[in-house]
Parts: sequence; C-alpha cells; structure tokens
Amino acid sequence: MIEQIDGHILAPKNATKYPASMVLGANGMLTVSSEPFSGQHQLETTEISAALGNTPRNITFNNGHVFVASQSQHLNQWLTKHSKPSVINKLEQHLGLIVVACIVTVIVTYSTIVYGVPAASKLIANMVPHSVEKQVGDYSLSLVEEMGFSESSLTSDRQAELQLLFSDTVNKLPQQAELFSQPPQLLIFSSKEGANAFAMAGGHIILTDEMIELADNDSQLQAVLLHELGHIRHRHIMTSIVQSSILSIAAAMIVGEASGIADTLMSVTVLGTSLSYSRHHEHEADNFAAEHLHNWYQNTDSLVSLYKLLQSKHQIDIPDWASTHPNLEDRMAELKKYSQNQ
Amino acid sequence: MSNLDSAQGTSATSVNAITPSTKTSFKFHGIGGEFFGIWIVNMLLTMVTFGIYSAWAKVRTHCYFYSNTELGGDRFEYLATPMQILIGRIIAVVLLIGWAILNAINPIIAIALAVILMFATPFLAVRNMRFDARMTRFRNVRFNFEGSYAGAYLQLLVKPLLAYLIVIAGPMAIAAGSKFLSDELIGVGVVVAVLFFFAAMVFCYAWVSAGIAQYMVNGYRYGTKAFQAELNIREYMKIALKAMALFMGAMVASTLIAFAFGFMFGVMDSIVELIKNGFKGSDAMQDGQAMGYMMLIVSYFFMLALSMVIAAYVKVCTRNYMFNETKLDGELQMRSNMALGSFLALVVTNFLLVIVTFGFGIAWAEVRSAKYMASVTEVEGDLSLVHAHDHNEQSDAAIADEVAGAFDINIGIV
Repeated sequence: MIEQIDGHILAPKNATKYPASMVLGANGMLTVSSEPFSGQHQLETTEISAALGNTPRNITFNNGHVFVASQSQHLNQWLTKHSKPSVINKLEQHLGLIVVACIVTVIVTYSTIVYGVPAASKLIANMVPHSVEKQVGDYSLSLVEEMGFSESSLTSDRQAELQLLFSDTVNKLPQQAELFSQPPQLLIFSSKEGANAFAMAGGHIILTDEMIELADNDSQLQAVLLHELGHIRHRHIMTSIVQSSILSIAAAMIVGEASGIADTLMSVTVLGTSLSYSRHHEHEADNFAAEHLHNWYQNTDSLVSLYKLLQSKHQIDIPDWASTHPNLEDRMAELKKYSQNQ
Repeated sequence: MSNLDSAQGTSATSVNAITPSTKTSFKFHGIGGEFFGIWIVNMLLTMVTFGIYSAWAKVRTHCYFYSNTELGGDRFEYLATPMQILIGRIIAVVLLIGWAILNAINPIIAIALAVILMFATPFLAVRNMRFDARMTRFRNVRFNFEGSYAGAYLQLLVKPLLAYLIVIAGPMAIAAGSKFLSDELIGVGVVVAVLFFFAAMVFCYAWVSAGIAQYMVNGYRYGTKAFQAELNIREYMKIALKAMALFMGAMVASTLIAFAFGFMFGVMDSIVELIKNGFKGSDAMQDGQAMGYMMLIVSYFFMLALSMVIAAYVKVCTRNYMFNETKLDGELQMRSNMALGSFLALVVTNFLLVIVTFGFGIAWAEVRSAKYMASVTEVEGDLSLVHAHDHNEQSDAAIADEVAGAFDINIGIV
C-alpha cells in the first residue's frame, strides 16, 4: 500500500524549513519531493531516529537532509512496519514487564538497603588495613577533649581496678587473638554529657566516670565493657564509615538526575537508613555481650539491670525510628530471652 | 506522481509563513504513564546490569524529554550517545569512590579535596554546559556554549568568595572596630554590623547571581547566533529584598500563631510549672519534652514549607526576569510567564505525589514539571526568519558532564 505524508525538509546544518511530501512505498522505498531535495531512497540507506514512546521519528538522508512529518503517527506506524523493530521500545510499553520491573525494583531496593549495603560494608571494613583503622582511631581520640571529655576524677586505685577488670574480661574471651586485630584498650574520662560508654576505631573503649558511678557493681560495668567489645569485635566503627560512604555515593548518583524535592527526600532516607544500621549494630553488640555473659554466669542479669538504671536516668522519649539505639525495653526483653533460650 | 508535483508547486513559500503569529509557545507532549514505562524499565535494566545500563537510561530519558518538547512544529533532539555517557560515568564513579574513601580516612585530605573541588568547579561547569549545549539540536542546528574559562572563574569562584568575605568579615570588622574606638560604642557597632550584614547579603546575592546569569546567557549559541542579555543587579536586589520580607513576615506571623496556640492549650502553664519546679517534677518534664518534640517537628515542617515557598518565589522572579531580557541575535525575544501560584501548586503536588507513591511517582512529577515549564515559555518573533547555521565544533567526551553530575555541581539558570 502506498501512502503519502506531508511534512518539511530541513537542509543540512541549517534551520530553514522547506515544505515537503514523501511517498512511503510498500517495499521500503521513500520518494521525497521538496525544493532543495528530491529523489528516491531506500529506507536502509537513511538514518531513523530511535523509537521512543510516541515521540515523532525523523528520517535523516545520507546527505544530511532531514524529513519531519506533520502527522508523525503516520510515519511512525509505517516505520514500525518497515524498519528493524526496537526491542527496548517494546519492553518499555509492555505492561507485564512494567509490573515485573516495579516488583523487582522494590525487592532489589529493599534487599540492597537491608542486606546488601551492610554485608558489603562489613566485607570492605574487614579489608581495611589495620594501620588505616589505627589512624582513624588516633584521630578521633585526639578530638575527645573537644567533644566535652576531660580527665577522669576517679582515684588512681579505682582506675587501676577497672583496668584490671577490663583486661580480665578481655583475657577471659575465648580465642581473643582472632577476635581483635589489636589489643583493645580502656580509657576513662569524665564527661559533661553524663553516663556513657562507647567504642572507637583502633580498639579504644571509652567509659565515663558518670557511667562508673551509675553502676551498682562491677559486674554491670563488665557487661557494658562486653557490649563495647562486641562493637570492636564486629568492627562496627569502620563498617559505619563504609556504610555512610556507600549511602552518600548512592545518594549522589541518584540525586544527580533529579530535582530539589528528591534532594530533601534523599537526605531524610539516608539519615533514616544510617540510624537503622546503627540500631542493628547495637543488637549485634548486645548479642555478643549476652553470649559471653551467659557462658560465664548463665544469665544476662548484669546488663539488664544496668539498662534499667540507664532507663531511669534518661527520660527522653525519642521515637524508635529516629534513634541511634534501639528501645531499651526491647533490648532488655531480648537479653532476658537470650538467657532463657539457652 | 501528480501529488508530488502539486506539493512541489507550493514549496516556494516557507511553512511558517502560513501561521504569521509572532509568538510561539513551547509545548511538551510527554505523557506520565508512557514515561513511567521507560523510567521503570531503565531502573530494572540498570539493576540487572549493575549500573552499566544507566548510560543508556540517561540517553533514553533525555531523548524522551527533548523529543517531546516542541517549538513551532519541530522537536528538540538529544544527540549524546550511550558510550560517551558510559565512559564519563565510569570515570565519575571511580573519582567519587576515591573521594569517599579519602574523605572517610583522613580529615586533612578531605579538606584538601574540598579545596581542589572548589577550584575545579568553574572548569567543570564550563565543560558541562558546553557538552549539554552541543548535544542539543533544534531544526538541524546544534546549540553551543562559548563562555570563557576566565569568565567562569571570575563569576563562579572569585565573586562568590569575595561575597562570603564581605558578608562574614564585614560585620565582624565593624563590631571589632567600634569596640576598638570606644567600649561604649559596642552597642551601636553591633547594630550597624547587623544592618551591614543584611544589606551585604542582599547586595552580594544580587551581584553574584546577576553575574552568573549574564555570563551564562551570553555564552550560549544557537548554531553561530549568540544569545544576549543585559541583566541588572538592581532587579536581583529587588527580588532578594522581597524574598527576605516574605521570610520575615512568615516568621513573625508563625511566632504569633504559635504563641496563640500555646496559650490556648495551656502549654505555657506547663512550661511555667517546669521552670518553678526546677526540672524536677518528672510529670512536668515529660509533658514539656513531649511538647518540645511536637514543637520541633511542627517547626521543622514549617521551615521546610517556607523554604519551598521562598525558593519557588525566587525561581519564578529570576527566571521570568532573565528570560524576558534574553534575545537571540537581536531577532528573537525569549519570554517566561511563570506565576508563583501555579508554580507552587506544581511543586507541592509533585512533592506529595512522590511521597505518597514511595518515589514511583517521580516519572509523573518530571513530566508534569516539563509540561508546566514548556507552557510558561515563549519565543517572540518569526522563527522562520532565523537563518541559523550549525557550528562545526566537535563534541567532546561526557567526562566533565558526568563528574559535575556526580559531585552535584548544578549551576542551572533555566
């Protein structure tokens, strides 16, 4: 069937339009007629713009003249029939594939965030050379005073006692050489922020005077130290650094293409995700402590009772999803469950 | 063949002469549902190929938006090839990963990198604009960007740095100077310093923005024809002052409303109680904290909304002003008719659309934005009389384009 369509011709590298018409032959022969350019051309010798949704497709002849149809659907239909089919264009309009793509996108996004990024981060963190980790640790240690920590006001006897408790605890751990790349160290500081204990890269654990005063007995402090040793054992600090790097790279790659709205949403998502990773680390550290407490004392009461003390001290009710630490109630319940299940 | 002959007979007149209208509006023909198919398949293939397909995805997305943008019966074309994008993208990703690692490990290196990036920004911006312009074609004629590197360094680095210096160091110098003269003058000095701060902010914003916009508009070419604009700092100052007044007004109004609500619900009582009990009564403390959180959340969303309004206002004013001052080779006049109400409605509905659909609505949001932007943009003058010829510049690789994208260097004026 022979069709004729109207349109215009654009001369090579020139914005001037010339009215034109083109006869679309059944055998893929194009017959163009216009003021600057006429003749017969086989479709294969021309360049057709890619099929993409309903966008009009133009034909560029080998001397650079371009034919633009006034009724683009007409030309598009004819081109679909006579040119090589575009697989990708078909896929983009295939309802079944679109549904599958939606489901796959949700599943892949979810599992990447929940499993992929943490697993990859752990893998990378374990590949970080010890010297680098030590450097990171030394640097954060050098900032400790600026963060509101000052020299401990405890007597040197009491400090020596706690150091002994710490080294006993570390030595009691089975296969400790495999657990820690460097021997962990305990540092005691006084803090404006109150009772606190945390681990840093390079194996330093910081315990505040206020935490030591809060604890009823040294077995509670041992439990806290075990929790922090759990963070070091799992290389949580390096892992967090890698995780936040991955998230920020991913955010940069995604947002690079989108609008300001996406920027805002992305930063909220990144924050929420890093908080959930942090909560997961706390669970891992709790489990580490629970495992050893249970091995040594057949219960996890010391850690539970310390969490109870902390809970009575901290009244602030931050919603779970907005917190770096999981809900203390949940953590205590899990610790109790741990000793019951064993 | 008789059909052909008759067609040839009329070909002496140009097509545009049939419609003598001197105003031509941009039209966007894209459809949300159609673009969603393209978008989601892009996502799927990008995931399946571990990111490789993203280069093809970028080209298809750009092509979709360009080919659906019509002006005077012709569509725009995006010419970049996936391979060009892929090479640029691989280099950008490698740089970004290296950047992230160095940043995390050593803060001193991180600062050095930030300085390097700052000095590279104008260069990247020029290359980025040039690449994007050369990849854009309309009626067989490509755009181009010929702004100089020197101009870019002046407008994008030297002037912004000077502006920061004036805004920050100026007030400090005034306050310190008044204290140096006499201790009693310190009060006057602080007031003058604050006034200077606001005045300097308005002026510097206008000075920098006008400079950047003028540099960019005058750097663009359609074929060999140049775009021209004379942009006035005073107009940008007016916009900044109005935006600031809008912000201040909203803050004062919201504070008054917050107080009114506070009294209504007796929040003040619990705060008074809190102060009296010296933070000991745990009930009052709980109440106060709950209220504090409520206030924090409410004020966060209020600030988010307010910043959206202000950003929209500034965008509407600057785009309209800039377009309405822009001419192509003295033949065509650009027009932008954005209105705050309609633009804000677009931004807010898009925002909600994206949130409600957990991000899947981005495809519709982008199509809606493109439709709106096209509908408020016009060209005055007879398009058929513009005898533009393509330049013969080669298109360079997409490296700078991708690096600029990855490091979020966005110096958009449109």
